[in-house]
Amino acid sequence: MAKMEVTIPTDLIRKLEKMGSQGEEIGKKMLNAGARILRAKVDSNLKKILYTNRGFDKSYPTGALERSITIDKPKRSKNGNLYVRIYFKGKDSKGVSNGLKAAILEHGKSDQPKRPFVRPAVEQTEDKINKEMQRIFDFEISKL
Amino acid sequence: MRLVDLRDLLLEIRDEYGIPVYHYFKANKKADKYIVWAEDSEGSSSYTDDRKENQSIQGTIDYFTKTEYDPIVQVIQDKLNSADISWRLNAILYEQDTGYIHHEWLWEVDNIG
Repeated sequence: MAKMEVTIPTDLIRKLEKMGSQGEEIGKKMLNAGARILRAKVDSNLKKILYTNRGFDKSYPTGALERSITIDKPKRSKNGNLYVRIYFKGKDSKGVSNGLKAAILEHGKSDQPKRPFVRPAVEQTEDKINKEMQRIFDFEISKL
Repeated sequence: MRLVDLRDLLLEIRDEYGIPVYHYFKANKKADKYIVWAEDSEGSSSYTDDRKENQSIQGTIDYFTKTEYDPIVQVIQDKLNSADISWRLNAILYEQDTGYIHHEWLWEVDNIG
């Protein structure tokens, strides 16, 4: 499936860990901010491949796939690190999983070329997300 | 490792195991297993004095097979390991309608030539 996860840079994880429960709350704010940036880029990349140079016909997308992009709540991985997942929620009106549709677009099929939109979004936003997480970290620390 | 070296690596698999190898898209032939590879974007590159110092190219190798536990999957990975190339297995998908198991690897080489 086309999966996306935002994680906190290693140097900031250590600083947050030393702060206990306050660090956990700051970490969640950082992850949610990063996830919003990634979600917006995935959404715009998806719209680009779905709607560019496309005539209006019966197969015209309904917009359900973009609307299904969902930011999960921040969680802890098995090794204890906070992360947040972004995924394609639910099914379309024909009962097809939005996650499966996104995966086929991203990776292609034997009879359908791939049109990656998640991998480019992750690469295009990596620096921006790290900067925004650092900004939130600095801001929250300055309030303590 | 250059792009053409990756091509040659995959053509070795074709010659040794009889697996058809296509660049960009599959020819309209029926096969129970085949490889499609393609470069698709610039990978991690570096700049010095407002000039591009190093450019890497990234892309995908897709292996479609109707055989469960297909040993060619390991052959592809061994070939990639034998060369100066960074790679990762990005996805494994099963196509219910065609019966193909689809493996996708991401790779990065350090020269477009």
